[in-house]
Amino acid sequence: MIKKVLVANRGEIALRVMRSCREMGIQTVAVFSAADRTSQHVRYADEAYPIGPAASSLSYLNMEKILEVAKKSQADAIHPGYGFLSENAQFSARCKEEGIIFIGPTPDVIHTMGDKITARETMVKSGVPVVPGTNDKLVTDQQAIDVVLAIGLPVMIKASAGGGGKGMRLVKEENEILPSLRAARSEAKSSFGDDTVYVEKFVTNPHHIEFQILADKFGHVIHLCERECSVQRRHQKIVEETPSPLLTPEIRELMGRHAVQAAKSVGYEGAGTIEFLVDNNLNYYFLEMNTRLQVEHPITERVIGVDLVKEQILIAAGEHLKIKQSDVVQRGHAIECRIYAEDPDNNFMPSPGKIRHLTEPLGLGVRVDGYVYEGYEIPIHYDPMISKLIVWGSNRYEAIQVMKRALHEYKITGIKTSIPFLERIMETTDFVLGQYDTGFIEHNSDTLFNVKGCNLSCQDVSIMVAYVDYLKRREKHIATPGTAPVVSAWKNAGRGER
Amino acid sequence: MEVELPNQDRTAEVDILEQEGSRYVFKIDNRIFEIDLIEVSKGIYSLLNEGKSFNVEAIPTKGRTRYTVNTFFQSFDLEIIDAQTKYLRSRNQGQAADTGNLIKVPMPGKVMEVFVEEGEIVKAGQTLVIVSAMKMESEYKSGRDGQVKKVMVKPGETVDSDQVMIILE
Repeated sequence: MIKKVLVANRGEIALRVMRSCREMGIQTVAVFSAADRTSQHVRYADEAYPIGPAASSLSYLNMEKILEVAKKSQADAIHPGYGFLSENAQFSARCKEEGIIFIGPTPDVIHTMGDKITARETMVKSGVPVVPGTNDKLVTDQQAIDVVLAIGLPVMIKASAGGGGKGMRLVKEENEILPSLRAARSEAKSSFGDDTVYVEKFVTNPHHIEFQILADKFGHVIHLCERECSVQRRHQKIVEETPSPLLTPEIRELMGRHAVQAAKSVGYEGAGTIEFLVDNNLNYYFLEMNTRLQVEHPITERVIGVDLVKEQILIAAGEHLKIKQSDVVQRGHAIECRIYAEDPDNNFMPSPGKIRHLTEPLGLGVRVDGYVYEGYEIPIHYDPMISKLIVWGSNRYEAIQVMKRALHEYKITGIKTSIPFLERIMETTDFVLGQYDTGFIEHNSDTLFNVKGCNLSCQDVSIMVAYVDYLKRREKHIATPGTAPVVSAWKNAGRGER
Repeated sequence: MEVELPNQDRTAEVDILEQEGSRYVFKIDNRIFEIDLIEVSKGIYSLLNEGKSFNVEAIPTKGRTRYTVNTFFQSFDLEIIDAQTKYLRSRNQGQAADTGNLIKVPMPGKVMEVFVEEGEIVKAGQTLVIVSAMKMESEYKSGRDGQVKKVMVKPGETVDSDQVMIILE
């Protein structure tokens, strides 16, 4: 049995994994970069070790250093979270060599599925439908142009090692091919350390629906139904929900069966996700498999009633899956909103900085998976996601109402966040009716970005508040000229937070 | 006093006509607002105007006079133009005139690449620097044709918001 787990990640997911470990009575080991000494995962873990400078290539991606810490702390297993080393076949292999359990699939499987080109080939062989595209790597510029024109514009250039919208470029015009190719390569190189890219036909505004898979080491594979992830901005998911408002029970069953088949075809072990593109006529195509925990996994946990991290750990420890496919039932409706440190009114510019004030929503049906706290400085080096807000309702309508209420309660100051933007999404008719695809944000940009209704009165309100705050601060300043006043400790205690 | 909203192209004349406890009578550009305003937590205000409730956050950004204010739907950047600000502005006028020559970064980040050297001739739209913040890379381009007078940053360096990276001749 696993007694101590090293979590090779940071931020909310490191904390998420450690919570399940604590419930299972498993000790946790955190690793941190120089920029993360004050990060919550360091404070939460039983042990914590520095692994290098801020740049992730020198810390969270430094395999040998992480393995060294694992051995020093005598961890039996490493949980990679998502991102960083979670889909790195070499890391999985190195763990095996060092006799440490990698909580994730074997190197071979990661290699097959993580390399999107090989994954496509495997799916074609096992009869799972795929999006038309190339099976070859793009080497020369001329080859890229030829391939793109052969498939027909528009196309999507994607990083073979990719995920999370990084290293991905849409090409609509012929003259965009080479600049997009270079940009995709450069981003792929810096995000994944591999600049291999490939081309797929771009299906205009499809639905993005994925199936959660669990597979044990004994060939028992089940799916835990779908997650609808079509609310995206620049291929980055913003809101996810389950069940999908689009799927019918019949299609759900078919897609689930294909998802299980896809996982079986590579001998998958652990928790994984099969992503599909679905068009409005409910035709679906295999897009890719993510051989890790997904950011949006909590909505599945809520509706199905499983802890996916616990399942991952039990599978890695060699236990049999206890859940059967016939046990899997979707109960109620769950929605997740991703809270990013970015400014939605200023072209989603990243907004790192210090959290001054934080009030997280509470109440029935609300879960917050985050890691920031008051006084914490969000570093510039990593992802802008600061938390995930997950809500549950007995039906979709109720879940939306809970989400609106929770977003309204969620207060983060000091930095700009995507919360106001998410509130507007929850108010958008297409979302409320469940009639949306990946073109949602583009189609609703009038409602989402044009908030003239409030503009003038909100400006006036802002002017009054800023002016009063300015006067108050000035008074305080004038009241204490030059010398520091004698402060009573009693008064200080009474003043509380000040 | 004047309050400026640079992103909205608006400068408003603001005056408090009356105040008693949390009750204020405001005059903004010849319009009168009777409001009830109270600071409920540090920097967080509850404002009631004709029965409408606004929960507003005032976040001081730079110096004493600049604010970012978050309302329910929208967020605004504001600056209070007090006597000191006016004085500083008039003193800095010579410098402020050549903002077009300064390539600045609006948010903290890390310089990934610098494409030009001092003395180099650049064209409008040419990318000068790439800065990465939170895994997103942004290009900073020259706004006009000109010559690079000074390069203030190196790849790998971290930059703060509003920091000048490149000065054009």
